[in-house]
Amino acid sequence: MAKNLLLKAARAAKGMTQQELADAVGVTRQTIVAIEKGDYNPTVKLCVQICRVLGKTLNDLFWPGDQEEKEVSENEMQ
Amino acid sequence: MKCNSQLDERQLLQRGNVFQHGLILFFALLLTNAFLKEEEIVWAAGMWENILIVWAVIALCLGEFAVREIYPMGGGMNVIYIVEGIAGVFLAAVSLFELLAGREPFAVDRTLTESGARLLQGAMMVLLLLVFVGKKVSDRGRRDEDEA
Repeated sequence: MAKNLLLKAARAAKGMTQQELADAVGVTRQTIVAIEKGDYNPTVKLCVQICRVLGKTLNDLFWPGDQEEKEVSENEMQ
Repeated sequence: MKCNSQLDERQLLQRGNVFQHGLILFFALLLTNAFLKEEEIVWAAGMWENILIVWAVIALCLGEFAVREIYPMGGGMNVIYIVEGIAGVFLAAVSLFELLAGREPFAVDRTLTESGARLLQGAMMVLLLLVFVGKKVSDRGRRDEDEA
């Protein structure tokens, strides 16, 4: 799974550490790390909570970018 | 349930995976033991076959919990790792003393004696403590790495 750089950038823009974001949405710091690294696919409920805290929409943070979409479609082709 | 409220969704998922691994190991060991019994092979004295099988599964689950940083009982888990580790050191030390003093050999006719089995159990308990401490030490400084 690709890294979620959008989330990382939004968090940094808000001036929040991973721990602060984790506390705000009620998960552990390791879970935020895993989401940012692309190691864990969060539930919609958690995605919405993160978006609320960061003041973004689901599209802003969790909709795949052009490059990621390309990778997904290539994988589907195979 | 209290333990559920302390774990987030990712940890709950991982906890399920850990239990799955434990269950698979448990069935594998039970089947192997049953096969060995059928062949009249006794690999540990008395009840120690069963005790070691159960301990192997406990060690796997607790070890994976430590590595994945899942603590279903919260801060109390730290105490569990430390206490069982210290108990393991004593258990292994007593068994080692008995073995070195020549009171009982490690194994007789390819069957673990009581001292041998206790030494193995103690070793598993100490190993768990080492995994727990090793994970805590390796995580120091990782926070800055993750933030970058």
